[in-house]
Amino acid sequence: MSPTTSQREPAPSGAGSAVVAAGPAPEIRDRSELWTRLGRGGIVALFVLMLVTFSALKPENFPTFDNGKAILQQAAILAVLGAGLTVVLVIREFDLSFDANAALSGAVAVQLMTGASLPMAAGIAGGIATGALVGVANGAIVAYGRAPAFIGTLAVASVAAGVQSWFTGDKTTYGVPESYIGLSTNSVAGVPLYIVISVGVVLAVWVLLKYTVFGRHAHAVGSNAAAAESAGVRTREVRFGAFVVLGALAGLAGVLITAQAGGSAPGNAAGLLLPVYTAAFLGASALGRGQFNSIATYFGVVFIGTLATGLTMLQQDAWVASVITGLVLVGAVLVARRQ
Amino acid sequence: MIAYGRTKGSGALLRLMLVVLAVLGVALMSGCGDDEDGGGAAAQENTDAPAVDNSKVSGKKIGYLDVIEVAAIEQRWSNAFEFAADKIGWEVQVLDAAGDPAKALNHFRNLTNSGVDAIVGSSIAAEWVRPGAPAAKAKDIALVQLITKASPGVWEADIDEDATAYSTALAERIKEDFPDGAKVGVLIEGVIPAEQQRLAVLKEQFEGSNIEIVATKDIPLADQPSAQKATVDVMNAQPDIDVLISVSSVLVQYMLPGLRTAGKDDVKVYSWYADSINAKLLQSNPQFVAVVDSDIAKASFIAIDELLKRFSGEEMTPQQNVEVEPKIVTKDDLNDAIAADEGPVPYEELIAPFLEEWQTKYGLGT
Repeated sequence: MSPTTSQREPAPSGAGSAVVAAGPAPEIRDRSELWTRLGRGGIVALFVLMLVTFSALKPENFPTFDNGKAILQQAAILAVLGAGLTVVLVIREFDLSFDANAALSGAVAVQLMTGASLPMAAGIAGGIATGALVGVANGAIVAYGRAPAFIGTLAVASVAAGVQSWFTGDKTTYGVPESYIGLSTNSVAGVPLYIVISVGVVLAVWVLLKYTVFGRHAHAVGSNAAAAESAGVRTREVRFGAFVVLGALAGLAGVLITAQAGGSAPGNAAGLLLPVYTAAFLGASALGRGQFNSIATYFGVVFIGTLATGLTMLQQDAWVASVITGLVLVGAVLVARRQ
Repeated sequence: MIAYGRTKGSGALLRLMLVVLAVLGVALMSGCGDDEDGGGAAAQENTDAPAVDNSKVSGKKIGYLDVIEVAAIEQRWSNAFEFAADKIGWEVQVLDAAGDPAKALNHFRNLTNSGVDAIVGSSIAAEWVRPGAPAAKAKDIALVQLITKASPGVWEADIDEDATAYSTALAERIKEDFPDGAKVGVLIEGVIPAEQQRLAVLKEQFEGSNIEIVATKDIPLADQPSAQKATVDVMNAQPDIDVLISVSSVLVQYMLPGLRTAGKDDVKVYSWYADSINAKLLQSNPQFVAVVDSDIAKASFIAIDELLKRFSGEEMTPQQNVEVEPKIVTKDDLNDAIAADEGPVPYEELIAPFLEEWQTKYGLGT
């Protein structure tokens, strides 16, 4: 799924590195630029076309403040996960455990409040800490254990699901404090709290990746791990840190999921992997010039949310949405690879 | 985030979504418009003056939110609702939460912003959609919950199944079948309040008898096939179980292969609802002894009745149990209505008294 070559591939050497050092041939560069422009222009144009079409077909319902607010509220959880995933994608790794992590973290938060009768703050902190802990496990396995992320994170997902099953007894738990549910219903200056949180997280990750040493090192690791290591970047620590950031944000997503649902249930966060990856690749193709960044991922999340909402308003069958979402993902990945 | 919708006659429009030229499409589609008044106009042709102003209740658009549409029993209720709505000229959009609370909330919000007059939730826990309720109420959208007892604060009308009647009937049957006592394992989708109620009453009914529930396993709503592995796990942990009860009607299809995997062909299975899938399983699996069912499909007609009250300015009934006559269905009791997923009693038969009233009172229906 990586849009460019994996950092696990051997570093170019000899003549190959000379070519890399000299940059691509003009013809190749032109083609790449063409794809970049097509990708950006095409996806953004598709988004605009979507807005125009839905607005025209449902003028009384789609282009409204309430609907825009609802789309951003629906995007909140995916946006938080997408921001975290962006960090891992920047270092050219994967994480297939963040949905199981979110489910486990949310369940921990709920159990701390309902089972242990701890206050809401402790529940939230416990949920995020659990997520970070799962991130530590992923980071240790991938960065220090040198296990392929695909296998390593899948294994951690299985463990997380098992642990959740064990300590919840596979039971549905309601009865969280009203203040916890309030996270999903309260607003700040008229803006729903979920939108505030998600936008805040997206911006924080954007700053992290663009303006901090960690972010610069993460980009260096993602571009060429061997070269970064030669330049003194502690690549293992950077990889480890990226998984911990995603883990903690998956924990936060788990809190948001359970606050929204008013409790935890087995399979609470099921089905989150595909839309989050779709959003990240879509955003990278559309706005990121083939590079991942959290704002681009947020665009991808909003794109998917808008599509889903519009199709629902047009009363389309489930298969239509599935086909279109799948086609959009394929198109985004193809364009990203070209870029 | 993906929309799961289903309406009659839809499907073609967005096939060409990616290639559609917006301006042309807009012009064509806007020209078509929504014929929301069609049903009402037809209904107004009744010669006898209705007791209620017909315009208040005609041509309504209803959003129907299904907890998990793949479940045949859920389709019994949604089909019944669409069947009745069609009779009175209402438009229904059915959306599937696919067992996912987040998806349920997304659909709820989308329906709220779609201009529906009412949202009917089928087995949707109030907790799932609570964050979206204030916006729906601000728009005066009627909110009705079907089949499962809901927590307060979201749904204005709560139409429940009579868990006591069902569980009592099934418990009695199991006591009859196992006069010398039995150990029982239970599979449940605990996220659905109705199933929790069924299990609670079952436990009450077995109390003091020689029937003992020795294992209970919660199955994720979004991962019903995991019931197969759960069955194997339960049987391995409690090999002396004589009876398995699937409190959810959906899980039997996974439970039976699980029993085969565990090599337990002497364990008897009981469940809820003779939907089309369970009917086939009853016919082909001697282990699957019986289900408890009733004329519960009329719950959908009661929901429409409540909505008619609301639209005409009357108060809805905040909470009611659907009075049903529980019936134990075995393979010898299967009929055409069951095969058509309407339940033991055909829709046409169940709706007759409702239609008569709707015609008299509101001038709706033909």
